[in-house]
Amino acid sequence: MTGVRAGAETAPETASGAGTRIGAGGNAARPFADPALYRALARALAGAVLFGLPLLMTAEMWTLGFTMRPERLALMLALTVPLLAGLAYYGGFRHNVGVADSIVDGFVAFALGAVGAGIVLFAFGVLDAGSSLEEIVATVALETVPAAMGAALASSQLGLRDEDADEADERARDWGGSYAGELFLMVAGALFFAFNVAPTEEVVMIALAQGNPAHAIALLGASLALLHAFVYALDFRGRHEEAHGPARLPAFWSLTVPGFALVLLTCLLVLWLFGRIDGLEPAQALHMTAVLGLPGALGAATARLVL
Amino acid sequence: MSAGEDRQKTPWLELAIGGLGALVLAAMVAYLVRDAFDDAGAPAEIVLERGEFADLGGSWRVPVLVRNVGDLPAEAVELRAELVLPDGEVEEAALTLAFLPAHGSAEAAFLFARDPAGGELGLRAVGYLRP
Repeated sequence: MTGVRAGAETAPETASGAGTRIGAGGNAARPFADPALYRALARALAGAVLFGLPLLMTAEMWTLGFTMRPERLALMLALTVPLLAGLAYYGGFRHNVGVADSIVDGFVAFALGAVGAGIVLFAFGVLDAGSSLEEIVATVALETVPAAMGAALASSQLGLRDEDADEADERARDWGGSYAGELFLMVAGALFFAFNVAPTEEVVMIALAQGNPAHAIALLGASLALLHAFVYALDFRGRHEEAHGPARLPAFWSLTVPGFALVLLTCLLVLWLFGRIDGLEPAQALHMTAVLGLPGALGAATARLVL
Repeated sequence: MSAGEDRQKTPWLELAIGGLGALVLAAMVAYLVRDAFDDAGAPAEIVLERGEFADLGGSWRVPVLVRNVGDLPAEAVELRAELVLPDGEVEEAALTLAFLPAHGSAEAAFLFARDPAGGELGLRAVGYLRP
């Protein structure tokens, strides 16, 4: 989890004056914790609540937890871990963090997300002592997913202080420097936005209101154009052309198109997980995917700015 | 710990919270998978339990506890109450619950214009949607 890594990483600088426990290099004993870690954990918990709040205050999510198929909810939880670990691996302050550390950080984000979601749901009275175990497990599990993403993103959103700015630049280059990282980031951004929109009735209503498949095709074109414009033409953080020099393919074909394909697959997956496309004709399901693709593409495009 | 020398070891507290997160995740997944197999079983079954009548001054309130003892949730649960009074007159009341989780419960109330104490009160669920 990036916030936690940040705390752990800054420890040698902040604690060096006190000089209590960190020795030189990798031979030091494993510390229990330090003040920076507590701060990072608190920041991650705050991120869980902040990012999770829109969905924690969405009525559809309270019922979706126990109306969606439990095996799909279980699958969603299982898929959350590599996502969180990926966010820690690619997006963390520490660009040299290892895979094992990232997995630990992913689980830390999950724990904090579950705690944050649980506290808010009980505080709001959505869950109470009269709620059945099924209801509690399902609702908390579902709400944990966006909250845990919030915990994982907390360092980049809440943790950037002036002295971290250089590291942030470095991090942005890291994202740009890895093709897989770039695509992963787009999927993470799309997932976060799609997750916020997919549970609502509005996706169905828009798809029904449009009706005509031509609308869906136009929407797909607009989403693709937006994705390309946001990230590549406007030249936001992370300058892609340089980063992907060796590929020699225009960024549109090397990044926007495969990125958009992944965005649509992510949207379709989210709709299926939520049971939104059950019983629909394939054409209707694809139309809903196109509708969700717009926020998904915007999420993918702005992920570079946010994460 | 495979990378450079400058890497600090992950603190115990972080490992502990990570381990807790893994446990919580495993428990949730195990519970949901078990639940998924259970779902093949009993559909939603709505049971109503009547509480004590209350005189509201001009109308009467009959509280009910609505429980779903099935393994599947129910949506738009339609409940009806039929009060047959001693003089043979029949008064009906109805309400709809938006959602009732599997093994969940909700508190509701029927309202009557006549005192139900002397009459015969029938309560039942007349239908629901499977979400």
